[in-house]
Amino acid sequence: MKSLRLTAFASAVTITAATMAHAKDFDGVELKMLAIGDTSVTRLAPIVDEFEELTGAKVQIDMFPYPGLIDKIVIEASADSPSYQLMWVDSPWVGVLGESGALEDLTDLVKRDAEEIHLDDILPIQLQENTWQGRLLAFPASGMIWHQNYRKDLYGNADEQAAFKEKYGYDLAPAQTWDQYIDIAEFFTRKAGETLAGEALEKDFYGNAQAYSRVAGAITHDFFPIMRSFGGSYWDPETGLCAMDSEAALAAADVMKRLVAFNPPDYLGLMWDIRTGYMERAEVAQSSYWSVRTVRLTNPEEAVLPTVGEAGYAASPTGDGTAQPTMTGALSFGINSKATDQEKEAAWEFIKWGTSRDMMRRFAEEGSGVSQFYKSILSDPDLQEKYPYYKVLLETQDNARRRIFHPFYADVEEIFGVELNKYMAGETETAEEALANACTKINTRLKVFPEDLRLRWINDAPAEIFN
Amino acid sequence: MNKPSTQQAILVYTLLGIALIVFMTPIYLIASSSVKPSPIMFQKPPAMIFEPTLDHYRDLFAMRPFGKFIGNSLMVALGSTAFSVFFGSIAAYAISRIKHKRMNDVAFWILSMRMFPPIAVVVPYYIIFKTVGLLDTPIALIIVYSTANIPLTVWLMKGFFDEVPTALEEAAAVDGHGLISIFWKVTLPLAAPGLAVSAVFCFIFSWNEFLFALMLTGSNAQTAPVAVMSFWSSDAVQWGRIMAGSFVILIPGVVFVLTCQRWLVRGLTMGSVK
Repeated sequence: MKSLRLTAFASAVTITAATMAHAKDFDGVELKMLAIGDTSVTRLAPIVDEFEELTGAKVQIDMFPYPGLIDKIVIEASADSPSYQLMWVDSPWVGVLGESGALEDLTDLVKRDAEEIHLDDILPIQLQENTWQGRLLAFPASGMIWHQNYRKDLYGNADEQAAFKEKYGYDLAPAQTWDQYIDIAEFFTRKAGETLAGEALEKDFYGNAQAYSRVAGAITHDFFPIMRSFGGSYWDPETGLCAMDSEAALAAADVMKRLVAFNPPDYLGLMWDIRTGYMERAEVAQSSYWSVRTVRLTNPEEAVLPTVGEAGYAASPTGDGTAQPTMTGALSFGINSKATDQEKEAAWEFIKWGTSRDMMRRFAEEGSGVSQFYKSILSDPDLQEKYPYYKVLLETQDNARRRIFHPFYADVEEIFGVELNKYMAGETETAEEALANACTKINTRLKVFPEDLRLRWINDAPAEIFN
Repeated sequence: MNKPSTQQAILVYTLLGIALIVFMTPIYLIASSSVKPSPIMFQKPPAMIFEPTLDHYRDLFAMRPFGKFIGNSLMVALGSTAFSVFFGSIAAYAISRIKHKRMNDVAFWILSMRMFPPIAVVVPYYIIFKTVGLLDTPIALIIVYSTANIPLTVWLMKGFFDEVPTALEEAAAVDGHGLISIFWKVTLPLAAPGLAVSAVFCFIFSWNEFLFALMLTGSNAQTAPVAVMSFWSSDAVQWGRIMAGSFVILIPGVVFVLTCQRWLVRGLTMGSVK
């Protein structure tokens, strides 16, 4: 505890010292940020006065609902004299925002200030997440991976371990393959009155909670990491058309279908946080989701689980157990390309300040739920003890692949959401039919565009900061 | 009228009870969820007995300037309502009294203003307000909402003015009243229920509207519905705070409707019996 306080003090001193160099450079500059009420923003909003004190620039953060924010950003970017100089960006949006020219290219700024921002300490995939056609369009403020959370207390129970071994012939441990994941889900699915870890259950207990809702494409978000873990790709590299009806995609749909029986009965309505709620209330044995929400599993004020059991964290399973890419994501800050040069410079100063290693460490030490992207923070033993999932966050990103970043991302999310949901509900007979329907609808829209444009849209050129 | 039999009374009260449950359940869910601790928010079966918490209400006002957003909503809703009822009544009176073969076309043209899908006009509105410097101001929303509310008011009020006998206006004219005086002192008071109905509809539309409020405002003029939904972020939908906000924004609407209730019932049934 003492070391944490010392580190916090040292961080504050470092932040102050680092930013003193820019003291009052931006007197009179007013910045507005178009953002959401995400933890990457809500932790920063109450302390923006500190930035004003250091640089003279006044920052106002406006928080809007996530649904509709990208439309507001696009409209805002269409104005010649923008109202907002700073934009909150979800990494799959870089395609549509890049194509519309809404965001300033940060490549040169990052290269210029590489030492100051500790570029070498940032997980490269988190920067690539925000890259479009080799240009860095946003800077990570919260780094995410898709991973599995499980009931460490149940997995460690001797009776449960023995029963599992007897039934499945191998040791109960965090799943490394989807077949194991399904076995575990089946094993722990129990009715009220049955015994779990030596105690009679008062209500039904479920082996897994996954998002199957079509609302806001929630099911698509769960489908993609599984598809990627089987080695699947979003697009055909030869044509730029939909490839999400491949063998890997079919295997992913099959995994999700087989898991249905071990999910809560309202599985078709499970959205992101309703699904995570089952894990937080200690009503399921395992659940896979984005790490931005995982911090709640360590906080008794936000979750029941810390008071009745213990959460464990592991990499997402793969098709065959061999290392497959982990799905990553980033919640980031970008600069409106229509801002004035002085505003852009002040906005970059704000981004550097708000996402700095010292600030991220400060958030972690204060117990704030910002998912991290600095290697030194994720590998810090004190912080790993406080947030055990940091270790998983760090280890899985060496072999991570980015989320979908296509300009038609929203269409993909919606169309696959509907088709997969219908398959899971039994309205569509086979996975082949569901995925073929989805790909046909997407391709109908894509074929309007020439092939070279489609190929450009799927080109994942590395950010030039790595050159 | 015969007194209803016991069976009829039971049937009526049963149906009323079912209707009451159907309509009140969402409000109960909003109210109960607003004081339910987050960890048990979606527990199944729903937790009926729990220790209530005011944390969501505290967060609502601590994490956002929610009082200011409520104030914005009130300003916009009342402003648009007053503007629409005033100008809508005058227009309706003119349409009701002027006898011209194309007057119905004019009335339909006014109503057609309400037929635009909002999403089709949001970008033009954005550009216009940006150009004239009204973006992120309550005035912008008052103007936008009034363009939807005035046609509604015109059509509602025209019906009420049609019901007022012109003989009364002629008598007032004989007594020396001018056109404005007749409208203000004779016709408008008789159409007061119509004003109440129009005001309620205008207020409810303006109070609840989301799309324009989302696209045309920032934190200066943000309205309560947008502020409530801003608790829907990428990592979580903060249902407790959303429910607390939803419950708070129910209150002014209910108060406004109850205030107008005396005229409202009369207005809604006026003209139903010849």
